[in-house]
Amino acid sequence: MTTTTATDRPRARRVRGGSSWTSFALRRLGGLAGVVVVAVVVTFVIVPLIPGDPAVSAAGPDATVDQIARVRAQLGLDQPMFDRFLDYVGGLLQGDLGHSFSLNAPVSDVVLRRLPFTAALAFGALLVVLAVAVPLGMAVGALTRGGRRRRLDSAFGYTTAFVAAIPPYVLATLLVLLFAVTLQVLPPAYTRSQPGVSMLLPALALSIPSICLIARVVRRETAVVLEQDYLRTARGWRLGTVRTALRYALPNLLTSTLTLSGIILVGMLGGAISVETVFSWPGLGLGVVNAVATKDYPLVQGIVLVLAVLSALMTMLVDILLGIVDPRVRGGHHG
Amino acid sequence: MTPPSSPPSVRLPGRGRRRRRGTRALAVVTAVVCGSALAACSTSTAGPAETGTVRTVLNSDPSSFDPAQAQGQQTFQVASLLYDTLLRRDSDARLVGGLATDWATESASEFTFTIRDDATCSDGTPITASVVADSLRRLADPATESTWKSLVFGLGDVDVAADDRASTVRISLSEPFTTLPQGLAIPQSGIVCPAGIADAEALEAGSVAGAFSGPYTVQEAQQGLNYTFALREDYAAWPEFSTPLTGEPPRRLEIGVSTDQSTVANQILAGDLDLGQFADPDAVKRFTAQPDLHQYQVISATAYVVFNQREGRPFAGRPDLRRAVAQAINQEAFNAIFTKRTADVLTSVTPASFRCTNTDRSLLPEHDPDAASELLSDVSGVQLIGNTANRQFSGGADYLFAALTEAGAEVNMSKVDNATFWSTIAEGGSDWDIVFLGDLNSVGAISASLDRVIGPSVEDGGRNYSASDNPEGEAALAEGLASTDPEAQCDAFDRAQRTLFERSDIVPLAGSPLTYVTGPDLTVSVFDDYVDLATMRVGAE
Repeated sequence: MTTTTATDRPRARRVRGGSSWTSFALRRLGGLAGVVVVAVVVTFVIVPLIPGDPAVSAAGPDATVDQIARVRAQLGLDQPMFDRFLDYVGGLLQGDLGHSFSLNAPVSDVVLRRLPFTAALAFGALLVVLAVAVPLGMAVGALTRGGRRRRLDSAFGYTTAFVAAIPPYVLATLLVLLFAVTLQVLPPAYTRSQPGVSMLLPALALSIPSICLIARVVRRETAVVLEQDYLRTARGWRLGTVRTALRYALPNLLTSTLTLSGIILVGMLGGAISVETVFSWPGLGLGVVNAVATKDYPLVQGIVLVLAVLSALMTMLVDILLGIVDPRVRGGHHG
Repeated sequence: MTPPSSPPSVRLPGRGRRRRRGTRALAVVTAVVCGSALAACSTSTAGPAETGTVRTVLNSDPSSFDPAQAQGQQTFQVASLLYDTLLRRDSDARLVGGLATDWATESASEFTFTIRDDATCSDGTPITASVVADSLRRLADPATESTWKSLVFGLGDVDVAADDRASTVRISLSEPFTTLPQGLAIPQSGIVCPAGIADAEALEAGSVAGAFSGPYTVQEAQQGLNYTFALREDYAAWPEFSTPLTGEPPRRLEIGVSTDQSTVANQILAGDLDLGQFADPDAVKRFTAQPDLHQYQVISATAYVVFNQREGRPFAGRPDLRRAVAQAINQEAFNAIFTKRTADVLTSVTPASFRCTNTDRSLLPEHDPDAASELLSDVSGVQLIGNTANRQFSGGADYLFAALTEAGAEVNMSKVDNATFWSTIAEGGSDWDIVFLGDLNSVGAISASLDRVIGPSVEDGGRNYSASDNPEGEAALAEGLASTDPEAQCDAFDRAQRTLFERSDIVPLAGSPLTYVTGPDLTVSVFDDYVDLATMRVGAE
């Protein structure tokens, strides 16, 4: 029989907390592995459903039937589907995403060239979202708490709902029309000589709907948090509004904001497809559109797979971050 | 989280008003800063006159940097910048010397070219007769599998002999093919230097520094992103066109990739691009109030109806039915949809700018829907394949479907993407009866379009999609290709076209316009319906 002394107790808590973390991390890693496996299978099976013959696309309209057949054999498209899948998986295990038909280059090279553009756009847009949406939502939440300023509350609600419902490509077109064509103050598309400036409009197009969504959630959460007893107490002590908001309200909004931010960042990777096309932004989104147009199976598969894995990774990172911020999320011992 | 145990400072009277004033001041400052920042983001960057750099976009990546493997108009344009051809196209369907200073058509199958003595490869290697001959032999070699071999040299065997002392290259063909000089002016026949021939894989990737014979070299090639070409300082082999070029060639070309024509139009209007190409008439309309920009419209392809005449198909052996289809179609109505009347309707398979093209409209059946419906109302199960390559082609297919359906025919329309369209009609046994082609004739000779509907079928190694049995037309086409006398050649090609109209093998529709738009500092030369990007000049008068 063992006894637990007073000095043993903290150690026991640490062990139980560690096991909770291990189990939490294992669950998330298992989920990530599952997503990757599904993504590999789905991208391989779905991409060949794109209408059209990639061999004809590669050989060109002037190619003879024999030449098309030779190109088909060179591309390995005459092999049974299962053999091609085994080749594909074998290549993936060695870090080989395949070879692009249309660009005559390794898919991994193309992905590595385009990834920084998509990452810069998505993270830039996310920063704008967080920098604008959280203060905006908190300000409106504070101003309208307890049924105050109903007109402001309604105007905020209707406006954010309306703007959030505008599809990114429509918003992108409107932004181009206003800032690039009419006012001529920002470039309408990616420009090699001004990459930073030319990212402003696509980042805005991606971030504006998300700003509205997150600001709405933050407003609601702020209104709830501000009605909590400890914040009434803080106000009773005449703490400054900003100090109260930053020190006592904001930490309580982090869980929902982080969760939403993760979802929105993943959504931005998808939204980048239409926005990158409108702004000729040379990221993965535009890459996959071009690859579909040229029936470049390996490139479509490679980009979609990388986007899927990135999305899953980001979801996992957000989960881990949430686990740190709010131990209840880990689902084990609460410490 | 809990509040601190002791209350902090107490709010002082008047602090709220000051805070509101502060908030307003902050708002004003923010507005001023944002406004200034936006105003500072001037989009008007320096143009080619100041920088010597031309910025443009392609709508797809080059399929290859090997001219013999080039596919698609954009890749041909890239090849024309990097590789010189023996001859170059000039106005009024004439040819001028490129790498050749002189040439002689000794017979329909014997040609001699004299090579200029001042041309060099991008690594400094002199371009001798042997260098030219090696490149042409490679193009003709079946092992190269170039789809352009038959367009340049014809279907027969090719013998290329070089004489470096006399600086001549002699080409002998086993079958007469008098359009060889035109074929040697297309970018796909561009001369590849020895360094490129030695490394085929690197040649395709554009990474052989010494492979280029043209005015530009590849400085940077980031597939899928952008390309940079640099003007060769030692290049001196500029052709002497009938109208001499003025201004300076751009020193640097920055080429991006963009599929969206509206975006490209926005960039040109904002001064971020110096050259764009537009197939969409609506995009071109945006430049009408821009007098500083230059516009060059060419007919880049031709649209005409082709019937599947293979055994068992409804239009096989039925010229009356094919004629009825022609009567059901209103060319002008098609043109209104296809080009928004920005191009002319056709009277043959090529635009009127091509030599030997029929211009006699009386050879074509008049639009007569009543006569058409008398025959077509009994026709069922017609498979119409429409190409969705762009809005124009999709709209044209819709028009054809409507015209045939109104005439009483039972038509099934399948709209497919560009690659599926070509793969469907390139397979002899596939399920289609009627299509309209967008025929891109890169050679500039009518024979290269006539063989789409006359002669050996695609399944027999030819280029005839319809598989029509037209011995009279085939003989006339062969006669034209064997004739060295321009008048006799045109007479033969004219007879070949007449057989098409008599048999109702085709229904000419309209030209497919492509408009090049350049910035104020940049010009480019247009030869008939061909834009030669190697003639881009900055600061031309």
